[in-house]
Amino acid sequence: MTLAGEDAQLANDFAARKGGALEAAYARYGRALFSVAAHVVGADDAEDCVHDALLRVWERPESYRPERGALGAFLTTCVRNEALAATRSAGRRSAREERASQLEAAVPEGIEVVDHVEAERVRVALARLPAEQRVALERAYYRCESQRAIALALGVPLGTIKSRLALGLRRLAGELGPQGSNR
Amino acid sequence: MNDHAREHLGDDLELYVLGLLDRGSAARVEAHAAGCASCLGRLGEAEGVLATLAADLPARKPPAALADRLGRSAAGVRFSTPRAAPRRSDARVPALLAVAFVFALAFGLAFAALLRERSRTPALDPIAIATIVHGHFSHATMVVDPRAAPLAAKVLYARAGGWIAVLVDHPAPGLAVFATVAGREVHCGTVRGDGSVGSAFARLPGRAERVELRLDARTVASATLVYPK
Repeated sequence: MTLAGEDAQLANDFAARKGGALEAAYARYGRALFSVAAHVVGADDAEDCVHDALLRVWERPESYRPERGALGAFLTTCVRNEALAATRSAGRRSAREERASQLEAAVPEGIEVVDHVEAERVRVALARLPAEQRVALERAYYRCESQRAIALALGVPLGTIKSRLALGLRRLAGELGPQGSNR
Repeated sequence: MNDHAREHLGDDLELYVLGLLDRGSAARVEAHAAGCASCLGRLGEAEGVLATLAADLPARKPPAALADRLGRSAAGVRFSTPRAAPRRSDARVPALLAVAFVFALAFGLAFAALLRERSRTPALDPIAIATIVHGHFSHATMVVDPRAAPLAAKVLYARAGGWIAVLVDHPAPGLAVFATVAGREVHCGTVRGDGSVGSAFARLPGRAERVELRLDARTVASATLVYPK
């Protein structure tokens, strides 16, 4: 079976809540999910974040259908949103802002990334975006900044930032091509 | 990505995938996509782009214990109904079944607690039960720390805000309930019961965003509450 075929089979098993499907999904995507969570909340809190997000999804069979798209992409969104929600609690807001200020849009030289080939493709695709869309996306995704924080930092209205983010993501989908949603 | 789908949710779909929407708006996107094939496909496409961006993040190796922990937690999950793909035309059916189930669970647990411990004051007193019966509410299953097993709990919460009821199976003595309302933590008392089942009811100054059960200041179960817009 091809890798894509294995992913599709796993997605079907996961949606049907077949025994062992959650563990199999974690084995397949766990490293990427943990990396995403660690990027937002730090490595210390990433374990709880991944655990809670996956269990929450697993408990709600209606939350994922294979028609939605790739299971790995869906789980990545769930984990990242769980991590962002965790950082938005009152007690951790200042820590998040401090952490956001430390994060750089690009990974420093010498640091291993999740997927070198994909990372290069992402960098090329991002470089093709109009600068204002690229900057907004990088701040939102890599620096985990809120819409308001981005608007404030760039000195533009909140509505403009929303539009730039949405347009940027749509355009990025086009730049990445069909492979962009195969993960 | 198609224009038809874009008309439904506008920019909110991309903002949702980026994790930039508040819980209410995020729940609205999820609810709409669940019954709209074109928006569901567009959502999956946007999620694919985000997953690709993750390729450029620093790689982190998860702790080995996480796989075991996840397996243990998953083993405790019980599915009450077979999975069925919701369509727009029957999207309300699962919700109605869920409400009926929650009603039965609420009354069952409350009545059982009353019968078992008549000498104790039940948390779900007549006023609390009347509030639940005449109100519109949602429910959420609490995510339980595996170390607290076999604890299991659900939260019933008013859709308009104002109250929560926590129903607990196998509560430990001294289990405290905390809710977060408008970013502020509120102590909602302790779970009452006979050790087999327990409950707690609290009126709140608004919509609870999160509910936690704590034992000796340690969080043993939690739920994030989502509201319809």
